[in-house]
Amino acid sequence: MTSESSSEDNSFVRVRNLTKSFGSLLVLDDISFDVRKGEFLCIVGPTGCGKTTFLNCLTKLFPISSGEILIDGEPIDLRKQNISYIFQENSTMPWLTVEENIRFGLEIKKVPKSIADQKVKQMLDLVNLWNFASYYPKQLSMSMLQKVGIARAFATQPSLLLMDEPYSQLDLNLRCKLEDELIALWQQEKTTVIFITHNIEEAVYLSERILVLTNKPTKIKREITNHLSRPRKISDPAFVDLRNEVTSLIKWW
Amino acid sequence: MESKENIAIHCENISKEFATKGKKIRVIDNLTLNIYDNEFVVLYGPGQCGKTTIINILSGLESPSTGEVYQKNEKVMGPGPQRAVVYQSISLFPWLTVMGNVEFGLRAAGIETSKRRQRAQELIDLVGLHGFENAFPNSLSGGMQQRVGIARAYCIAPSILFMDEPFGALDAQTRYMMEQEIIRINSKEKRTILFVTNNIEEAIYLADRIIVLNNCPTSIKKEYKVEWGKPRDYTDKKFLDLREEITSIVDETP
Repeated sequence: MTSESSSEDNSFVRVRNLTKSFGSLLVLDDISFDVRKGEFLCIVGPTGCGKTTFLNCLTKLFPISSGEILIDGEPIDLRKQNISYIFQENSTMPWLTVEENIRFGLEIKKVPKSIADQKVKQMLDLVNLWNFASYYPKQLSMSMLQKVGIARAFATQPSLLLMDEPYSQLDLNLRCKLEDELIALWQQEKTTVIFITHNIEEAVYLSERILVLTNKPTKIKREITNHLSRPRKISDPAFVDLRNEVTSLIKWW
Repeated sequence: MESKENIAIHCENISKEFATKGKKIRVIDNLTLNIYDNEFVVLYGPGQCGKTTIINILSGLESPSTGEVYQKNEKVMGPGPQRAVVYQSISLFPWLTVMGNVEFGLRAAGIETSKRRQRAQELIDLVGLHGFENAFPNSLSGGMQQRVGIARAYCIAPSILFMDEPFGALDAQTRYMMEQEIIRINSKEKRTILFVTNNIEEAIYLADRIIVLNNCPTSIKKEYKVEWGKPRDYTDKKFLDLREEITSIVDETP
């Protein structure tokens, strides 16, 4: 088997010639790429380049204008495929406690109670929210709410996790902590992650590969494999080099 | 530079308590602080540590429970035109154009139209909004709206400007741009600035002096003078080293 075909076998998400326009405004212009199973992919691009539109196409929140998105070889179908989406804003349900929020996806998927109990417990442990299990969202800080969202997403063991700037509202120390937690979860659960951010340092810290997008109409400007070993350090010269390289591809400010 | 005559604003032993449900909560504990003329001071601390309360007290919007605030030799008793504030929430008047917002303070002070228009136009040009004078806030992007907020604050020529996380709601890249802009604007119209942020990169990029705060009740943990020229490089080794050092001493929030 050639290396090319084996990499094809590994591709979990396959995007081909994805194009999206709103009326006469072309936002995504003929985008093609693959994501391997279990890969952590970051997508960065200049402000307003259509990163969120891209995720919304992937989840079928928006219909695409042309092209094809395949997940595990099949057209995307949210009832069949197990996809979780974590937004920038708090998306917890205010009438449910922390524990009930984490359980929510499991109930929808009709997971037997004994298994769900165990999964919820495991998630509360992982994000360190045991003491707050019976709290309601309005009693929690922004960072805790974001943890609840992450626990809820991971609880259903999604095969694909989409994250749209989940940490941009948090201060830097907390962001770093949650990023480390995310990496630990990802390594443990072997989830395929597509993570969108404006923050170049964050992309370099998290990713195995970075897709750099252009301004609208959006194309892929560069694909960069991130070989830095973990745990990563932001002051490491190789880290700084990669961060500066990505910045130079995007910089408009 | 740091002599008594050069103190722009000074507070001594200020404390602030709030009462909730019969319980008193001490938010600020015995804070003493001098800010010197033309200095760019950044207050840096974890979320919810009482930074905004300090700004509110120094600008005269709130009074301290104990202690006093002096601007030059005058006691601060309430808000005044010598002290302007830029907020994270921007707080533009949605029914006024860019020009209407920027000239608002001068209009309230009774300055005649042609004079205040001229001054407002200078500021609109300085913040890079030439051509948008007649636009309304809702047609502007977040970064542009904050430019209007900054122009409005500079327009009344306050001797001290307070900025309360003005770029906190902007995306990382727009934020870099605005940080660069505030350095440029302030080199053209030099003011004393007290800037609050919970972003350590922003603090080091902007500050002549960084005051690191303890978590609630707020007090000063440590001060750092940053004497490198501006603009600074976020990935410079000394920048990253200082960032690491300050990050390591800040209280963790739960």
